[in-house]
Amino acid sequence: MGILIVDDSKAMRMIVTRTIRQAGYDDRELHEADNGVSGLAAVIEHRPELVLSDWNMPEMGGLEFLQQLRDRGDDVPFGFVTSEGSAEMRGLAARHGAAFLIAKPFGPDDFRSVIAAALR
Amino acid sequence: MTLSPDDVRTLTESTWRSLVADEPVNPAPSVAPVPAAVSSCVHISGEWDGAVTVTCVPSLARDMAETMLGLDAGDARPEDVDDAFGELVNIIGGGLKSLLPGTSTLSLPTVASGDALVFPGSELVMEQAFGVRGEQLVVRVHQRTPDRDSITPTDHSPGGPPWEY
Repeated sequence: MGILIVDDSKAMRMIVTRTIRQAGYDDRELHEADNGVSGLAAVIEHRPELVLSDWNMPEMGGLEFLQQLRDRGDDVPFGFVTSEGSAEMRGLAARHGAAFLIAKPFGPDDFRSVIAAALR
Repeated sequence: MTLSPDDVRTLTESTWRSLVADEPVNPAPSVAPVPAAVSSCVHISGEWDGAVTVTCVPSLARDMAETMLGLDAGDARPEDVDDAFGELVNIIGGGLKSLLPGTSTLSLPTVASGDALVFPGSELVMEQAFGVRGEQLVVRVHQRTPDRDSITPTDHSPGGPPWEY
């Protein structure tokens, strides 16, 4: 259980972790992966209650990662945390089954409500 | 829609506050040469083609990485600095891309030595310096010129010797 953070940047994984804690989720177990391929393995290993994924990553990006999860019948709540927050990308994310998209830069308030809704 | 200097200033300031620290990032009136500089870069490809770069002295990039990663001074490895410095331009570039019309894609960030990176087939359309921790941080936007099909990540020419953080 817990929250899986998938981002190819170690620095960004640390900042997402810090922000989740600041948003009040300091009791949640946090897991990390650095792209979609290792994210798929981490979902199997940890069975997270929420996945937070970057969009643009080497090997397997976030959209393909989400698609592969859904193709496997895995409906784990999934949100993007990405540097690109255009309306087009938000629409694309939603059509693929993402619950939300948080655009970088972000703060604890950006995480608080969407995580609460996703974990409800 | 076109990018404005205000877009660059707002994005850079909010990105710095989010990633590094809630401290002033003061726009500077002019750009001075950055000695022994290191630059990070992302390319935007699509209806709008170009590149966004961030340049500073290696010590500022290292200082930023250590703050982002919660490390003591001197503890950041070169790959940590590349990662953190790349993320800075990734967020600024991604934010600028979101303001552009049409469909485009953002490359993964790269880090290279040199102050003013050269992108054949493009022109420098925006340049803004900021004063950060006593050093200069420069954000530049390059746009493909109409006579070129594209500029690619392999097009840029680092302008200096390998850097040391």
